[in-house]
Amino acid sequence: MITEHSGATDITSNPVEKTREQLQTEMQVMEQKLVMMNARLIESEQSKSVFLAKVRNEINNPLTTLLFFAQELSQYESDDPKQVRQMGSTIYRDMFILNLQLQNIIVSSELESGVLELSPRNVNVRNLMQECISGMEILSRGSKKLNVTLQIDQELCDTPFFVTDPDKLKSILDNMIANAIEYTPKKGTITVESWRSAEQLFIKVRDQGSGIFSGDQNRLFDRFRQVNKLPSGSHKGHGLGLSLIKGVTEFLGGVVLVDTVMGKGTTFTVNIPEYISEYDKEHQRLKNGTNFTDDELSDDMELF
Amino acid sequence: VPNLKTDSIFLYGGNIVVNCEKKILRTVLGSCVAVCLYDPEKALGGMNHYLLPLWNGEGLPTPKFGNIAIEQLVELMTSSRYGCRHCDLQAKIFGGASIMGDRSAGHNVSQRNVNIAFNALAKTGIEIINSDVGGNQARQLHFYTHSGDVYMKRVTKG
Repeated sequence: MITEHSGATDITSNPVEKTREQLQTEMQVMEQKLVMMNARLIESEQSKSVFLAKVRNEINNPLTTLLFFAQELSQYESDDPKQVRQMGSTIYRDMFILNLQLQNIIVSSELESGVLELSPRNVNVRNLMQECISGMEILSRGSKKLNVTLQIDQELCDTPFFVTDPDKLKSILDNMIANAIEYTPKKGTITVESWRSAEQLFIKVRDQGSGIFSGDQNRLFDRFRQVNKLPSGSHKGHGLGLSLIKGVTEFLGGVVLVDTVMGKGTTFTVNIPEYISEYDKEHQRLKNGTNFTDDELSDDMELF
Repeated sequence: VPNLKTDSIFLYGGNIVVNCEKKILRTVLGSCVAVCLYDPEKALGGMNHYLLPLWNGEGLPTPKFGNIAIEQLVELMTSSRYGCRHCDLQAKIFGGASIMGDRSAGHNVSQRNVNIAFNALAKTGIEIINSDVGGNQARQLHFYTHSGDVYMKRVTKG
């Protein structure tokens, strides 16, 4: 309907004009979104190329060592069991590192593409932590002869079950311990502490490394960026561990805190909330704010 | 008549249940949607409860997505195990409330959840005989699989 005032058409009250204007605005918004999306895609493509180049190095390096020792072993003519065991141990250690790195690469790429899935279960945290520490013995005991101590709070000892994704928690722990092993000097001590408070799980890993410069702390969790904490700069790290700890912790809804003292060491603390399903959240919210009961058939239910 | 305490099955988001015994399928729906299918010839019913409208092709095509949940429910009921015919099935649709208020309005998940139910069922040719969708209140459902009756209660804020 067109309304006329003193012979002139009032466009604003024309429904067709209004719809056209509305559609134009919507189109502009869509266009802006497309431009932003395109920029994000280009950025993502670039970072993927860098990622792939780094990944190639990460796999190539331990593979070279493995190939060398495997070849040595196959052509080895002496029957000295001590030397054979030593070679076997080196192969195992490098395989372990390679496995950890491959796991990290897979989880990182899943995190990046948003396809990482959460599989929460009731996890015995105490057992999981003990498993992680003993699994890491190949790295901690080896030539470095490090001492890894585990301190678990009494409350967590008594009630060690916590609902979270065990694979993700193991990934965080493995990387925290591997990182501490990397930066702690020979015969040093790594302390792993854990406790729970309400529905939160805390894990603290303290190394005896040289600490992190305050200027480096901001880029600590950047992917493939290593902060040179060792005076010699001779660490074997893969530059993926800390970014993964942060990414996976945040995926579980938690946070990572860093506390460092130059010359004394660094402490990473991870704080993860217990998993509550969307359904439970909704259920809880309904129960709190409503007269909701699901125990019996209410008289006021409508039949459909 | 089945007993609510002993003969009921609770459906979480992403669940599908078909039952030919006398059971009560229970659920609570916010923005989620549940499709109840009933075959009066065989006196059996099935229900799904999905959270999101469409599977985007990434990850597993689980029944937490509407298009998958409806397809799987229909397939299950018409499978040789239950032997229902499309033409006998009757559908009832519930849920899709905007209980999060403005926060979820941007994504309009609830409305899209409802739309997918109507669209997907229309494609299968299954008759929709009743529905209670939309609004801003959560719903509590009890579906009696032997009779096809659905008892629904809107959950009001106290």
